Amino acid sequence: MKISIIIPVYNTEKYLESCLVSIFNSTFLDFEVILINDGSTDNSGEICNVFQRKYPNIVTLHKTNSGQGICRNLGIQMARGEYVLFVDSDDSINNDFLANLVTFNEIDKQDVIVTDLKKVYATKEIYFKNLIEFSRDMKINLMLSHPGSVAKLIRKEILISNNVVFEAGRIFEDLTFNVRLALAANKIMYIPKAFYNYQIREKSTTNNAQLDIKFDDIYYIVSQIDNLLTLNPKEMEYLYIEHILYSASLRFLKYTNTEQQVVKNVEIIRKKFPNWSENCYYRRKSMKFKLICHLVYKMRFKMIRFLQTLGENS
Amino acid sequence: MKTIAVIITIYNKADYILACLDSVFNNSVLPDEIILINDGSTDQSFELIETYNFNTLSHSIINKKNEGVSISRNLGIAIVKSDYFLFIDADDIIENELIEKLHTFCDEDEVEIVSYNVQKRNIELGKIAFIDKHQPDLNTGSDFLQFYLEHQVNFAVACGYCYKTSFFKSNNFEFSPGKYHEDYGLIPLVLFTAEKMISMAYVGYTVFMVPNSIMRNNDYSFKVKKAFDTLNLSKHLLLKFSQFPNIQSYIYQLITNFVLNAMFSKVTSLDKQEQYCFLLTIHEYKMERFIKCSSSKMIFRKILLSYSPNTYARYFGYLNGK
Repeated sequence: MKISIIIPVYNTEKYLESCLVSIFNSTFLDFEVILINDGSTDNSGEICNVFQRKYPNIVTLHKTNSGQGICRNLGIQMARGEYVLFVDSDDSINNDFLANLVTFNEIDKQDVIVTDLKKVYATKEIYFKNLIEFSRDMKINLMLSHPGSVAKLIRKEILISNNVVFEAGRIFEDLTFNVRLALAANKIMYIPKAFYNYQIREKSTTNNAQLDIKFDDIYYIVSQIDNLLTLNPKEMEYLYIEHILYSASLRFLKYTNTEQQVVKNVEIIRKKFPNWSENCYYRRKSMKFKLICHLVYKMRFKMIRFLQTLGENS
Repeated sequence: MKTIAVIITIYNKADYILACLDSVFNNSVLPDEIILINDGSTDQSFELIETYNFNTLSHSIINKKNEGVSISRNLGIAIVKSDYFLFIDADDIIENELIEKLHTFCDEDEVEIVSYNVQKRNIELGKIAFIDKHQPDLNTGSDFLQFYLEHQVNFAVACGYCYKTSFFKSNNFEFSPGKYHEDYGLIPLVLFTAEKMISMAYVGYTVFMVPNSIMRNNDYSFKVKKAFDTLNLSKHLLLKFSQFPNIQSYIYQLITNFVLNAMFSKVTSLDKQEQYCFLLTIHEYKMERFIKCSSSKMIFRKILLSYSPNTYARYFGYLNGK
């Protein structure tokens, strides 16, 4: 078997069917689907069973709720394909996605193949580059790019032998997974074409407000990165800038009374990386990114909030 | 407290599965995790386990197409999280104090295997047979294996042991996919690898001998498949055992004898054509030198078998017993 498609399912009865239909419309057929129903309280489990009866190459696992990271880890353990592919249960893939991955892989067996994705909003679609060229080294590109685990074909063996796993029960589980994956993979290929439709919905787990957990999660994940990247200080510095200074701060500032947390973030950067603005990867980022980083660093929170409202209105 | 999981594999056992699950839930101490693998049942089995009331017990249900018990068990092992696990077949039951008694052994030492006794009940004939595997003085897996082989204990039943998960996974033990007698092909290896093993005198597991169970089917092609699975697993076992760096020749001899017995027990149900393949394998692995001979007739056969399996097959037709 070539590909194991791993789909964690949690209360997505509205979208699950179209996701599965899109997968079974594929032109390439040598795959299995591993559906992990993480204790859904809606009709999702029943939809899994209906499809399982219809298609013999589905394996379903119904379990008590434990979070997406654990589900994906279980999926890796259960997979019998040579490669694994993560798909979210509310997204969909194009019918030539698998065939393209396999043909590109045929010439030279890769450890990881990254493709772009299409972010689908309620009213618009945005082409999203899943891999940004920071340097000539693909390992570094993969490490520093968007940390999502979707739209990446991964050789199962490198996950097992290097113990590349998702952090159980953490919201930012993708980030450490991505760093571990980049460290483990030797042959990485990038296909700058979008085959994966990433649905942005209001009620996706990462957009939903469970803020008290997230504060701690980001620090935990960052401490993991410290351990993983002791030999790559430049990359570590960039990940701090991108995720602590930029992403986490912006996310926190969407809510009220979170200034103290952002100050904490800035303190971390100030102590650990006083010369962060000279980072070679940071220098390649856009003016907008640099502006916001500096505003956060100078703690001009009112200014940032003002810019955020401007961005939402446009 | 160490955690214990039960792994239950199900294929068309709607009549028995509830009794099996109830036997788990009637235990004085409940397991920490329960994993059910529905191997593409065509009867009501899946509906029954899906609607079963697991209360707050952490449970996982895998549903997949029919691929045989080996793959089901391997999937179960792949997702088990607890420190220890044991297998239950869906038509068998465990006794009420099994989990509690297992805890007393698992919690104290880092044992890798805990063995418990198995009883086989034949409902129609009203007979009970016991497999007594208890040996208080032994404590390594290879000692147990040696004892079982010497005394011809029917030990190769996967359901008769509780295994340490990290031990099982780090040794990459796997049941051979799509083969019958999967226990026979793996359990000797597992026992031999275990450094710490304990047995208890408690009868913890009951096998019900049911007439329509897959193992008691009388179709000829089915017999051939079973015999050749045994042959392949035997080869595999011998290969694995010969790869252990410092295995005593005595144990290797016992294993060869064990394998030979298993093969002989299958070969008598076959036609001549298929028997010949068995003879060739025995010859190829030079197993005939381990045949125990009690009469001059047997010695003659043994010599003939070692020099020319072709002639042997022509004159004796089939092998009968040891």
